[in-house]
Amino acid sequence: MERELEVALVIRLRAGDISAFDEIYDVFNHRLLSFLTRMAKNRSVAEDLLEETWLRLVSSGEDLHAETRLGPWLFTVARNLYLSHCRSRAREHSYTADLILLWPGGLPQSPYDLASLNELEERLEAAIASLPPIHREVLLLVAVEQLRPVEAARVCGISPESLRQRLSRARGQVSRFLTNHDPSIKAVARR
Amino acid sequence: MTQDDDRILKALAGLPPIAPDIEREIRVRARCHAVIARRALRQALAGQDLRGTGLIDLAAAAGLIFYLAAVIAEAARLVGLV
Repeated sequence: MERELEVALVIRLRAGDISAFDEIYDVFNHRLLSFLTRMAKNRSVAEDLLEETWLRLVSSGEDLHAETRLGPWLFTVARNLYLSHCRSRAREHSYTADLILLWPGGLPQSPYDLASLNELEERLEAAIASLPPIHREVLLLVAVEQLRPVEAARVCGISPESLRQRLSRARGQVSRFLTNHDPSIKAVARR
Repeated sequence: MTQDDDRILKALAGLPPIAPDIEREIRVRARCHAVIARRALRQALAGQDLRGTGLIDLAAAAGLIFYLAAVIAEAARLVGLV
């Protein structure tokens, strides 16, 4: 999103312009849902967290600074809500913090989603799902959602250097996953 | 970054976004619209209150100035200055 347009949208949203909200929603809703679904590995949970993310935006609309970057702001809220969800689920089930890293659940896909995924996409989704959350989030933010590394670092609350390390590890893990599960996948990726 | 890593990143960037459930999308949008509308109404009412308060303050100040001017004029008349 162009910077000038983004600033104008924030100003309009602060003034209570519903069409500004709709424009922001149209740009980010799919991206946030994709991020949350891949993080939570559960579509229903992701949709609940997504709804809460949007409600946070409209509730705090008047407090937004004109220079707020909408993408990082929304992804930060979505990520924090996901972490809160994990913590509350962990408390609910008396899980240890380590178990959060092994959060159960298959990829949430409707028959339509499954049919639309080609083999490479399916394997990439599986590779992403196999990553620990701290590596999964950086890979999703930078590689899939195309946030700038400095923005992704801010979303995750880490330094750019830590982000670079996590991203490098995540890439390595995905690469190993693809090789271990089907060496031909790299040949597909090379096409 | 190796060439393989680069290809993996490109493939990741090409992953399709997950499509939302249309009904839920409409519901969430409507809920957010309602929150924005309530907030806008609250802002408008607060603005009116402020404007009302400003007018009252102005009228009170004008009254006070008028009263003080009358007191000073009366005092001047009593001491024979006017």
